[in-house]
Amino acid sequence: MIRAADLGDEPPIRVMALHALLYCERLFYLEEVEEIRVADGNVYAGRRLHLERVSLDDETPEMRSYDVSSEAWGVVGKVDAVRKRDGVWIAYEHKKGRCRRGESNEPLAWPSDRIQAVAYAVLVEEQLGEPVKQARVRYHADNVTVLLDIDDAARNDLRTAIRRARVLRESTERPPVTENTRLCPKCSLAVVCLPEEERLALDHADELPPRLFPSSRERHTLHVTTAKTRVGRSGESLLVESETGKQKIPIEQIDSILIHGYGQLTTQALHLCAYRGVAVDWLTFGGRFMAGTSASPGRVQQRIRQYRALTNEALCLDLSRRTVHAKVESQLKYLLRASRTDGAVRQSIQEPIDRIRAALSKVDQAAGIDSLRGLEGIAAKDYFAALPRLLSSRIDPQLIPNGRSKHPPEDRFNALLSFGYGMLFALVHRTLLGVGLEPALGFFHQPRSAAPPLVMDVVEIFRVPLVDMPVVGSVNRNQWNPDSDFTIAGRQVWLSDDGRKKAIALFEERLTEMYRHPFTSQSMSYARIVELESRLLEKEWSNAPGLYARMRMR
Amino acid sequence: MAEKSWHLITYDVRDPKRLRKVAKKLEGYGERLQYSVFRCRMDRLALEKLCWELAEIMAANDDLLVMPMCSRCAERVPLHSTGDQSAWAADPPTFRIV
Repeated sequence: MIRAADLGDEPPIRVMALHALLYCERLFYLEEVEEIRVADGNVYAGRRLHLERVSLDDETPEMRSYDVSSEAWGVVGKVDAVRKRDGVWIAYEHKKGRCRRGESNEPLAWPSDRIQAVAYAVLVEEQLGEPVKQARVRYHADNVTVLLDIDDAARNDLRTAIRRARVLRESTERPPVTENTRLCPKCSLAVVCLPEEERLALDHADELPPRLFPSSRERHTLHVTTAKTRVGRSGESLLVESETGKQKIPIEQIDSILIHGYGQLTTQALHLCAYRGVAVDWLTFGGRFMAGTSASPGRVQQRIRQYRALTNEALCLDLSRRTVHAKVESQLKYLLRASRTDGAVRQSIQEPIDRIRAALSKVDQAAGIDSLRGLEGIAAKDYFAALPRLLSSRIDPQLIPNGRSKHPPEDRFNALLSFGYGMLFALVHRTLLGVGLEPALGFFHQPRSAAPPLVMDVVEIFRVPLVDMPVVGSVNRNQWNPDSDFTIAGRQVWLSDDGRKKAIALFEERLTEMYRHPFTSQSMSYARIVELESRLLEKEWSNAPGLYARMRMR
Repeated sequence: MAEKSWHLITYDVRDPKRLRKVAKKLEGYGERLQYSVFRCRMDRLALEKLCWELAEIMAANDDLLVMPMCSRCAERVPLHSTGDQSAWAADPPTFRIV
């Protein structure tokens, strides 16, 4: 059989990819096969180094940033510099970091840097038709240049690396996390790969490095709530024009834009958002999620794995059980915790608590998704029956709900809950898109219009901590004005402009609160926990199952 | 956790076209204080990214000066400045509502 590779039809391998391959096979796979690329500070510093290299004073012939490719090797790349010294060509590679040291402290190149320099030398040789006998790697941090001979051994190592890269490209499975834990802290893809969390699952907890998943959200969310607001673009910033005036907001300070109601966003602004990876979500005035954009490239491998996994009924049932377990246990724990100090309150909700507890004990043995839905429903009914008892007796009676009503909410408390769930939905939606999952294929909910099932599935584990708890807390702190914060339209109750701003602030402040995730034992903001859980969900079908939905209230 | 801090950024760019590009780029990261003086609140990632993007625009004879400021230095800026310099000490909220 003639394979496509034999005919030279296979796409060439980038030299940078070979560098990644020798650093960590999983890094190579994530970047080259799954097309997940994340730049961190080191990546940008490295790019700048290549722009700002000191000029050379002598007049040796030199080519810089020189594109090279070879069909015979099946490799392409851009060599930093090729110079002619004493009549022979030498390939140069510049590195920001430090060199490796041998046994007697002699400078050596790191294996990944070596293969990169060797590849450039071999490609340059083929392209120029003149021998290149040496490559040099310059390490700028310690000002050392390492000389490499381009001999048969070097060529053989290059051949081996290219062969390995081809094998990995054909594979549909992610390689395991590397055993060398020292590589991970410097790797820009650690936030996607989550090596520490995966090692935790493999019970190597004793050798955990101090850093886990980065714990803070670095940019802001922009909420456009007032009608007649227009978000345009001015260069690299957003130009927000409202009735109260104009303001420029640097795009680098924004991570997502939520448009509540009918504020305008120009196409130019949308282009800037897409280019800079800023998600945009549109919600109705009532807080219902309508649509969202995210500049995620279609990640084919990730989605194929998701489709394969989520068409497996046993896996779907398992994930559904754990999701319902997490949700109901959070509801139960919250009721217990909030009534801990008040015997009268505890007494009044003891019956619902008992029923929720009984439902919870059946979740793990539920035979199918339908019976899970039944248990979830029983727990929800009791939970919402008990929830008003947690409200202080000193608050305005208009704020006390009568059970749960939605589509539309029929009292003020339910309006707050619905609005919060809408924002949570939007957050989970953009997070799932951002990590490369397909929102339309879930495991527990059934598809229906305007509500992607996977988003609804993931939302379940965050309802209590991100919406219910802050709403109950704020009502008990008397933060709501029953008249000016709400608008009543017949049976329906919505938030007024003032109320909406307060509700957004409440939700956003909750997202910045730190919480110690019970599984990783690391403190991080709730905003990060949503992202972490989304990535852990994907690991359920990518070789590290059992990590998702371990989030619990204490 | 990546720590953010204030950076005072000023530049000399010797060509009007590049000058406008540099200014537009900096507007994407922070606020303009004076004609060629900006302040940006950034962590290391944003700083490295900005420096790389500026290096792509600027030529060899242009100058860039980035002054990282610790929080105590930033707090003292308003004491010695004219105009409204009030927001140096405060950590901006993580969201904005317009």
